[in-house]
Amino acid sequence: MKLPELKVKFICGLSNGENLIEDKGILERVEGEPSPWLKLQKYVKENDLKITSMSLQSKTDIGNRHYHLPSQHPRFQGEVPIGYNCFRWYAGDAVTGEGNIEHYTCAEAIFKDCKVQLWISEVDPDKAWVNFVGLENEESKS
Amino acid sequence: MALTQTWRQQGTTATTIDATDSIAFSNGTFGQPIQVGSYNDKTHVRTSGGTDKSASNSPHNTKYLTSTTMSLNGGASANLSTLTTANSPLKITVSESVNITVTDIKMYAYDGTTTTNAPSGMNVYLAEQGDTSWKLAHGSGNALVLNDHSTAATSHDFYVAISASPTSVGVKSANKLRLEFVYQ
Repeated sequence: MKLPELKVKFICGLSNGENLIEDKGILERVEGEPSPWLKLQKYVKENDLKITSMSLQSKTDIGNRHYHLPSQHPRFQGEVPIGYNCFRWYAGDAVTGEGNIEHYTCAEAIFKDCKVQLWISEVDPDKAWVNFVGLENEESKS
Repeated sequence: MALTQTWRQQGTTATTIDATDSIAFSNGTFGQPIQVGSYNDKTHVRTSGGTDKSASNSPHNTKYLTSTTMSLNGGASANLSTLTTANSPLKITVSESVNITVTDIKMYAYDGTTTTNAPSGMNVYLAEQGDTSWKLAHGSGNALVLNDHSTAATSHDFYVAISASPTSVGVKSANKLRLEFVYQ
């Protein structure tokens, strides 16, 4: 079963002032090369950079939507994250039909004791959720 | 290319389990029921039309004997840990055109309606190849956890043993197997 092309892309601001968009420029998706997120990790490490902001962009029927995580210069007097992460989560019935598929892009702002997750549905990119995860709780699960 | 997921039942040759197919357990003959409390002597791929898609492929069967042992293809009791990748009934491939990691992988059976529920009227045991014991994988809260594939690659293979036993009389076709994972 092949899933549809991703509709949600991550956008990162870096400590050198660059803004990188998934699937564009040095984060282009090239067959046989690391995924855009893994390319970003390598680029940041090799150039001794930091991710300073992260947002997700979803393409919907009525235009592009942008959802922002707290940045290193947060608006609204928020806390400053110590890191960022982005992943895709998939869940689906293995056999007997292609129904009941869940597929999300998740971006995380990581703080000392918690992380704030921004989830956008790849099935319906008009829908987004914010989730708060205590890191102590997460560690105790593993 | 977008993410692709392929399920196969392995045997002398593999049978691809397509979206409209199902995994069918029998007492040894396709279409014949397993007695309540007994376990599968054969595993087949059943088409939506009700035919045995895997008939000519001698599909592998793992039968639950005890929490740590199995019968492979009707053979004598063996430790589950001796199951090889080639003899594992299920081979699941997750692939992408770019190199990805696949982590936080969970697999479980449920009633086909609510993912936290146990399958209806049957016990489903799962094990990843190399595991020493079966997991009664009933609902997302009791899922089999598969090993992370943290080395990026364009294709990741997962090998799983499966065994099932009815706990009541009747067809159990509403139940489903579900796979969850994170990829980057």
